Amino acid sequence: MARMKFLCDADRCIDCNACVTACKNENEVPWGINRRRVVTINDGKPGERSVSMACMHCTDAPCAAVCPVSCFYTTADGVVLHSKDLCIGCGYCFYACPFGAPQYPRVGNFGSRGKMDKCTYCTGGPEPDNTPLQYEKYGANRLSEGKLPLCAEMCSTKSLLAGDGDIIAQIYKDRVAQRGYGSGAWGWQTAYRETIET
Amino acid sequence: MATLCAHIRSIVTAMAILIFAVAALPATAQQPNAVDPNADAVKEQQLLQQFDRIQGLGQIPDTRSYVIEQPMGRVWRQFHEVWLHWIGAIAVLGMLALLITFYLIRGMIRIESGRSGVKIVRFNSFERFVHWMTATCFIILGLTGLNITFGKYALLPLMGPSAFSSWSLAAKYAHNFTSFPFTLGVILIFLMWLAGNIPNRVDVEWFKRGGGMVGHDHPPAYRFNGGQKAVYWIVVLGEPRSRSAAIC
Amino acid sequence: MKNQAKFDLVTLRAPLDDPEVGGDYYGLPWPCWGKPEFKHPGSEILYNTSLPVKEGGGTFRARFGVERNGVNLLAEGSYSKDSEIKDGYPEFTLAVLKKLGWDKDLTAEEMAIIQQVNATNPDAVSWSTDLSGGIQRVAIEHGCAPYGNGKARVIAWNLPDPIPVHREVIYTSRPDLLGKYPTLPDAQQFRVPNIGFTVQKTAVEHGISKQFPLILTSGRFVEYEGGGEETRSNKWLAEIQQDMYVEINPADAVDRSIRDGGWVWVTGAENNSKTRMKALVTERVGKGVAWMPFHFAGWFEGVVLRNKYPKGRDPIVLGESMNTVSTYGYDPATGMQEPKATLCQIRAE
Repeated sequence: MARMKFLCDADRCIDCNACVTACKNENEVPWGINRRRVVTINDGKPGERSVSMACMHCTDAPCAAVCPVSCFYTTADGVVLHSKDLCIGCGYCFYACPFGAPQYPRVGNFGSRGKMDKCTYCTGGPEPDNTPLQYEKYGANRLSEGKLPLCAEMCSTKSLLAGDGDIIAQIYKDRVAQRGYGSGAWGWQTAYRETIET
Repeated sequence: MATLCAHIRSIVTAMAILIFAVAALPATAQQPNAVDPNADAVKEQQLLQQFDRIQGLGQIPDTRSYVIEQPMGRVWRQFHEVWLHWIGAIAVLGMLALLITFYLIRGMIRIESGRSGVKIVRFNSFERFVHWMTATCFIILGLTGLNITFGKYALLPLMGPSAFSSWSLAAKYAHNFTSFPFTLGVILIFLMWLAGNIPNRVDVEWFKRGGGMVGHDHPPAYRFNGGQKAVYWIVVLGEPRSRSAAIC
Repeated sequence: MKNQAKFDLVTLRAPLDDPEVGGDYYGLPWPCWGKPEFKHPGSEILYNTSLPVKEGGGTFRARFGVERNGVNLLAEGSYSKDSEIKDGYPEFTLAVLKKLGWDKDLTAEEMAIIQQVNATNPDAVSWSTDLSGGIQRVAIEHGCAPYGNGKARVIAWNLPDPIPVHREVIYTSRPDLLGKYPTLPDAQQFRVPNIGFTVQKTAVEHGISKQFPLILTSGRFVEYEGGGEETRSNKWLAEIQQDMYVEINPADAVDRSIRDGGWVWVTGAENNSKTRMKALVTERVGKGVAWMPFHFAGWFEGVVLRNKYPKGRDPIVLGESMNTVSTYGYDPATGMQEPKATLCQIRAE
């Protein structure tokens, strides 16, 4: 079974925010919630790199592990989703997530953050697929139509790759072989100091 | 003959040079550009080593989104999913075990000569109010706090996800809101009973004589005995911890 | 989109045998000649003489005339593959066709339309005014490009500077260079008197470059389109750029006690113009240079004018307009406003 992943090629990202806009549009994400964002490292200096970051759909998702009401689940494709009905807005998933993917609609007193919202890999949520209710709560369900998330589809330089982990890793490897290894692929493996190189 | 050899030698040398020159051409053509575009590219590893997180510049007003990797999350997860379970279990169950053991061994400590029927005011209404406000909040805080850590193992299988979520949501609000009266209560307790809880030599004597919990001794004490003073200080000094939790 | 998959990723061409798009280049790049029945595949590479014009080749357009100062401006020894004229030729008109005897290839309908286009002088009807398309068709069928076959030129003799030379901007930070690189002399440009030279001289006399030492330039957001009013009304794009700002080098910021994200006043060299916006202290701009996006509007000299918009029509995000502090300048060739490079001063609020 395919494990769906994202890979942002930091050598290609031009900080155009097409992925951000595509996500906002496709999922009708309200103002203030940023499922996907582009961050630029070393801005203005040589070696400037931009990375598009959203939920990385971790195989061993920390958000799922720390949730007090276990509202997360991983689909057969490896996509990490959660139920907004069960979410209590405690904020634990944000603390545990290394990538800051969970977003909350309110900044209330004493953690009345509202229901957590995050990138769903355009896979919707626990409601029945392709229903208006699912769209309202979680956004588009492209995966059920056999399509990849819109952010990667709209990427102007094809730096943001989405798809089966093995396939996109191979694509990236081919690129690296062609052009040389620059800032590399940024993600889970290296976040926890478990890198390919020592 | 010699000149012929010399001639041949020079021709061979010339050809050798030519061959080497031609062979060297493809190599120079394949050499990478003098400028390596990735030379100054920052490596993920190096940023993590420097700052323990990777942060850059974004465009949206939420500056928290500028952090793209914070490995601290794993420590947080470890603490909340592993350590806290052990600490909580040992603290709660351990204390329960101690109490049960004491009860089984020593039993209840009864008034030696029975009740005399005469009543005196030990705590006025304000003190009682503060105490019960703090105690009620503590119980609520304790139970709802335990729900955060252990709820999904203990209660979720029994209640089902929907009911458990509703209960946890209410519990979360209860926990967050009762933290304030609790803290207020502890501060008031600290102020109210500070005078009576200053340790002195009588307490040393009290502890030496087992506080009356072992045997039939009844060591003297002022308003609060040594054991009570110990509980007081544990509660009052533990308050900063609860403050730090309330900030989260 | 239906046939997108048929096009080769490198040559951008569909295979010749495909019934619908056979031989076409993706997107039918300009120039794509003739009616659909003509089946021109589009010209992927301009001026490609190794292909017949019918198959996407072309010659260099002869738009500067036939000769100048006794020098032949038409191509010599360069012509398209399969061209019947093996030399340069001028733009095709009916007169040219008649001279070559090719006017007989025009159909009766085409000839009728040509007569209609210019009843008094049908010979003057050219490939670009012929509404029937016949002149183009005949030219291409004889292997010639309708727009002629001329030489490319390096000296653009009809432009203000036939070969581009450096000229200092009107508000220049380097008045010492004006002796050698002044802007063009004052002249009438269509209906506008272009007094750039006078303005430049006056600026030097008033010591503008000392009062306004920072070079100001402006640019476009990659997320935004056009002037900005529409984009700033789009809720998704407006969120990505919520504030007007000016990029300023850290060295310049330190000199002016400007902190990143702080409010600043940017003042311009003309009319005591001033604008208020946030400062982005970054190394994206060099020392002595400042950059602003030109997409914002709705503030004027620090005052928010949201209530001046028709009700419900105000964009989500408003900000100062760059043009408030930009200055005099017109492009010498087209007369287009050219205020982009100018001087400014920035101070912390």
